[in-house]
Amino acid sequence: MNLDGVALAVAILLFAFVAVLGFAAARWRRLGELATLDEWGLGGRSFGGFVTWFLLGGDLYTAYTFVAVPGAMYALGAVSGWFAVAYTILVWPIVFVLMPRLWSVAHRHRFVTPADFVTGRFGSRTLGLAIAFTGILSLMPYIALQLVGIQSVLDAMGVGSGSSSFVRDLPLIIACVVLAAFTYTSGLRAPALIAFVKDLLVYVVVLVSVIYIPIKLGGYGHIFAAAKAHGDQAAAAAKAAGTKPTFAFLPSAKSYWAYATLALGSAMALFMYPHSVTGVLASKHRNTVRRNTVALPLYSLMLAFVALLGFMAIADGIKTTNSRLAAPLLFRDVFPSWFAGVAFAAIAIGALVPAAIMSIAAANLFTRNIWRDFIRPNATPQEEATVSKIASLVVKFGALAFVLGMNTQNAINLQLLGGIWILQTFPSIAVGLFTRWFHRWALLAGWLAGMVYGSYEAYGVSSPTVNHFAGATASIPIIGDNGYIAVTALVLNLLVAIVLTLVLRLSPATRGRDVTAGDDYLVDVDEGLVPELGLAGTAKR
Amino acid sequence: MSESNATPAQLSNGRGDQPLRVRDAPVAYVVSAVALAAAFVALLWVPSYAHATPTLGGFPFFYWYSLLWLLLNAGCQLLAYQLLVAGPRRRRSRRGVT
Repeated sequence: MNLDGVALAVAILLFAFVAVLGFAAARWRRLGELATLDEWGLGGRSFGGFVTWFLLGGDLYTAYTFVAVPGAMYALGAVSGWFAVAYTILVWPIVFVLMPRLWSVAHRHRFVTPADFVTGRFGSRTLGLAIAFTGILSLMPYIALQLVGIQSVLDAMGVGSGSSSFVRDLPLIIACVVLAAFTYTSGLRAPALIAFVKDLLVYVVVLVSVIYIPIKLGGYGHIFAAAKAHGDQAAAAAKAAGTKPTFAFLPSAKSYWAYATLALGSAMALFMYPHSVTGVLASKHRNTVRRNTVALPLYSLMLAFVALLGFMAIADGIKTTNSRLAAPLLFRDVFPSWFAGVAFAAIAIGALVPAAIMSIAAANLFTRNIWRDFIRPNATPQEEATVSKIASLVVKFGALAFVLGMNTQNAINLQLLGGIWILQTFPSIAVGLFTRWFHRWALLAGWLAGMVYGSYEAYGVSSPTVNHFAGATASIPIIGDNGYIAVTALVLNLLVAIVLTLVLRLSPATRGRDVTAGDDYLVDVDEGLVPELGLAGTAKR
Repeated sequence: MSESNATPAQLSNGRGDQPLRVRDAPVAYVVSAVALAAAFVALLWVPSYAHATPTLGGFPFFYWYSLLWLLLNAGCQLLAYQLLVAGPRRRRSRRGVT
């Protein structure tokens, strides 16, 4: 592909502006010392409804939206692509119910991470460690997806094509270094501030795309007709070749379970991710998040129209075997160069914000639940912040390993793989917000069962081009149809946890101590903090 | 299991009559629960809407029905927010209690 100079210049200009903003963010709305984890990692817990809306939306509006979902719609159609719309609708009622309770208990006990909560709730640092490990592990492919998003944009602009692999990867490495540097200096304030610019760009690009492109392509009716024709063609070709059709214009009877479990599993998983929790805990009041859920579906609506870019690419006759390039190539084809540059910048910056939030969240997990709980119980707040900053760098290298080590064509699989792992923390975190019925050891055993089963099943999924981790659905035992592995693993997880809890209840002495009380789940900002009871090394606060 | 610093009485002092538990406002809670569950039933029952027709503005039924539920669900969340948070807060301020 030849280089598009104008688009590249516009994109670089916007990207540089955002990078400067990221460094300047260190000074924004700062009350306390940046050298504590509350300041660096939670922005001082001071964000109101407006900032929270942007921050939470930023969690959803990632390269996932712009690259992975249209790519999946382009290559696979309704089941593997459009489920994201159902998923991003169903996530908000879940947030509405769960997150105010998590906010209250975290506020009261100064919990920074979901693993802090689990440690305190079940009196088990080991269970907390399992939750922290899962959080860090599942964020790596999700951050990797963001890097893949940036890479797709660079590919579509024709940067470094045909040259050595080092030159090709150089811009990505530069973007990665910029990201690492401003996260290191500014903490959560950087992505929160950049989120404004990012959303402005994204909204402009989305609005222009969903109005301008359909007009150019002859209306939505024509776009859907082209997708349907493409599906029929693909099915006929598959039949002739004796293989299974991959593209679905509508879910068929065989894929109802896959569609429903992908939507439900992803919705349940999103707010188990440590970075989503970070966005919630950084808000000022208990009900900030709840009020936000009324307006946040606006993001879901945008996602739906962005998903349709995949069908628009089909209607426009975009031909690529690399489905993650579907939307960027469509932009390049239909827009004038300068606006394609704006669109590419929107995607790249849209990947940068969540990648920063995610790496901060993963770093917080490492610091609080591995470093402090197991290695240096007496770490000072300054030490915690320093360790977090370094950990955030390490996590980005882990993400890079996923980019290099996995097949990234079906980018949506990166996110679905993370979902398989993170959903296994649901019984400890989400159920734990309401009841302490489960025994801590039973939760641990259930988690282990879910993790092992989920990883094993995902490893076994192959496609004609990839041997392992080629997808996130596998046959559901008993039912027989394909379903999202995360949900099957969660069912196994819960079964193990229930059975073992019943057994372990015979020995009440092993239950562990709960530092939270019923009212802690209901308090608001003006109702005071509890000194951190029982958590190792925190009495100093 | 462990001790809390604030008794329920203290808590309710701070927030007037905000219903924090199901027993404080059972009707509001049940209505909210049904409203919030509706989208799950609608969207996870895939065979009920995996059809091409009737189309709307060029969108096959499957696609526009999903978007319709996006709006309906936002409305349901607004209703639940009004019932559980905003409504009680308004009533409280009307009575002049802070």
